[in-house]
Amino acid sequence: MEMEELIAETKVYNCVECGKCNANCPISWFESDYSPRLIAKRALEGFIDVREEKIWHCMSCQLCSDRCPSEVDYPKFIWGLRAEALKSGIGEEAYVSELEQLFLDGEMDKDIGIVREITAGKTAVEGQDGGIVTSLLTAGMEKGLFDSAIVVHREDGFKAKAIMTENVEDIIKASGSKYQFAPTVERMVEAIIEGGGKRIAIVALPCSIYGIRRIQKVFSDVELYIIGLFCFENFYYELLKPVVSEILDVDLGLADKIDVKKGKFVVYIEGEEKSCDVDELQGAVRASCVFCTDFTARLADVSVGSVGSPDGYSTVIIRSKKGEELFGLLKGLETTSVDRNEIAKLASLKRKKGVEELEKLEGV
Amino acid sequence: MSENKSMLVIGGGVAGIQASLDLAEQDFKVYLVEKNSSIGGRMAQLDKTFPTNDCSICILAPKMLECFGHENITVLSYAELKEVSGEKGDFIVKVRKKPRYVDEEKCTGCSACEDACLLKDRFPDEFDMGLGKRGAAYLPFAQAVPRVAVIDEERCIFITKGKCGKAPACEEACERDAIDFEQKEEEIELHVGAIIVATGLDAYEPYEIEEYGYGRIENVITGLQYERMINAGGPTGGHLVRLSSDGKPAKKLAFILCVGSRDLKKCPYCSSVCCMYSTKSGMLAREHEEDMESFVFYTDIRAFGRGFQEYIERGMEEYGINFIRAKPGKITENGNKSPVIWYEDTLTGELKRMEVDLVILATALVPSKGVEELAKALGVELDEYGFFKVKNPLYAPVDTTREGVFVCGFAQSPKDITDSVAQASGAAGRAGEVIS
Repeated sequence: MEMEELIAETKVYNCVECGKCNANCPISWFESDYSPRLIAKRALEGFIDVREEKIWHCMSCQLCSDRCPSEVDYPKFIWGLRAEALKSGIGEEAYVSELEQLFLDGEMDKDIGIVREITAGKTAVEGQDGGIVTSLLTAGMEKGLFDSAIVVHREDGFKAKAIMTENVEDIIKASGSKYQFAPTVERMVEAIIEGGGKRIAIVALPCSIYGIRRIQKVFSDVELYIIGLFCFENFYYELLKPVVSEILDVDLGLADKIDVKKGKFVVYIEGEEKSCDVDELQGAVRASCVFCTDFTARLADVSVGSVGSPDGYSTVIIRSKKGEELFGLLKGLETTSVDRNEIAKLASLKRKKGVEELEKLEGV
Repeated sequence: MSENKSMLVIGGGVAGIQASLDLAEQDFKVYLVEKNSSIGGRMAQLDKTFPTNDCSICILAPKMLECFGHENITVLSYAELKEVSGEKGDFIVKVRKKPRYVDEEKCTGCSACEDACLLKDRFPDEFDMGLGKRGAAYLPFAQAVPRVAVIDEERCIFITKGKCGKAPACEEACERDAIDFEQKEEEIELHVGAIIVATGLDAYEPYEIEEYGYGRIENVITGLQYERMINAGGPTGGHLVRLSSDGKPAKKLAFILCVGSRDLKKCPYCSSVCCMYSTKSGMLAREHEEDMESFVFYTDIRAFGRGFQEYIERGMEEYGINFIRAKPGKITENGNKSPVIWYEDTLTGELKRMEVDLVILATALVPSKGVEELAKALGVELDEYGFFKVKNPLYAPVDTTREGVFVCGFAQSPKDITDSVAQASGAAGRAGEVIS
């Protein structure tokens, strides 16, 4: 895509240089030479060289564009610049590999990333599948590995809200998938900058973990335990709610649980189970998700998901010594074998889709 | 031309009052319909006016009284327009007058009912933008015109539950026997030659802009709340205080401009008065206390009126107001319940945080609630934001899309008091032409 076309499509020309994007960018607070506002400005002025720009700093959290008063679609703009950079042979892989080498320790699997150990497990805790995420957090907290945890609660029905907490009740309340992006990374940045938390566990989506690792790379004075969630795509609640109401005739706000399994979006509500094809919800998918190539949260200390495990179990990929330390604390764990192929299949499908979308932007 | 020399003005704020007085002075008979229980509108809530820093109510109150007392003006307060038929020169208008449960003739505004009400100080006071409290029986504000109490039918337990002690406390307390629970809604039919709309503005409530914490962080308020707070007759007696439970004096203030306005997802237009009133607010703070610090976070300063640029400069030089070119990213609350502003100083590119005592959001100003129904009843068009459309902004700037119906003030587009009053006189002139 030509630069002018990209600027027009992502409405960069709307920018009034108010700086709201930059002040909301988790990365900008740690990397002083990164600024969504200034990248946009250089593009508008025609002085942009994609090989020089720090376009790979962006984690696509969308806080900039979600809060932009001028409707600039920054994530798509950055992805457009990345597509341009790809032509010069600069790609995402090198940046991810660099972070993998810095923070992880295990065998490389081309589809699912670095693995120390992989298993299917469940605990006595009730959770989305095997209750693993909740158990990891409570065990780590009780053991004193970290002082606070950043998790996602439900508010106003099923809307995701990122919170930081020091108590176990809040952690337990956070169990269950929301299939939405919540800025857990923003809570982490606030904690670090406000000087409150230095030993933190954080549950995050693959995209955020990329950003979290970038921050950790330049700001080492923080002890993090990062639990990643498998993620194929997630949704805007404001868009998802009406679509679900139309297709399934249920109020998502009143749901007990939602799940995405084998191509189906399932809502558990008042003892019933209602489902539709995930494809029917495409209109509600978060914009950046289409470009994402990371299904298994490659940069987490421990990744958790349901794909690859029997019902009632969670798939657990341990990727670092820290992840191993945390996983080792679990009590009453039951394990069974994992279907690695199933994970690899979905991971490569997601990568393929992401790359294709990016190529579309490139226009080649 | 019609023989009907009556006129209808909708909205009793400064624009509606001006239009009414202009018409009345030309011997037209004017009906002024106001939906609240007192005329005065938004200007009555303001502390001072820019760019002269005159006391707002001191200018407005005599006008309110003149209007109410004028032999050619009938003020229909607590009333709303329901229906319009007929045409230019002879409109037939139906007005619904809500029961206030207080006899307007008998009530002297002594406030005995207000003091006696069992629910005194229980509910957020609309005039004080929720910072003060009122009861179910109350006077809207000290300078209310008419100065007549009103009983809130949704809140009064005698009206909702049929019981209030042995006998309603307000009724017991009133020496003039003015409380009248038998009052019913009235429908009034008027014949008028022309209609002027002057329905003014509401402030956008910025709950959706979650990152600014309005409604969540106690020490984040709106510009109109600040006006009430710094007003000597307001809920804090004119003292700037933190609204968190510590209640300490507020010494460091941050004014954030364009909250919801110039925002393509909310109100894309400029609200027109915020740069000026926020500067004014900073000046007033310094006039109240020498050691006040004010910071204005702006995207652009739009000081376009006569003397406005000079006013901003005076704010900087004489009052020490600090202007920071930034739209803050977000506001968090720290352990002391102080708001912390996260922003980029766009002149240097630096990311910074600032802890303050109070954040004052200059929220978008929007057309008054209910304009859609009103426009429908009047048979006129609104623009995409809810402002009354004019026939032609250049040569018919007060003519709505229906003959004989005119508009002035904020209802037409964002503007300050001076421009609202000027436009009101213009609308009165055009309305007069219909008949003379």
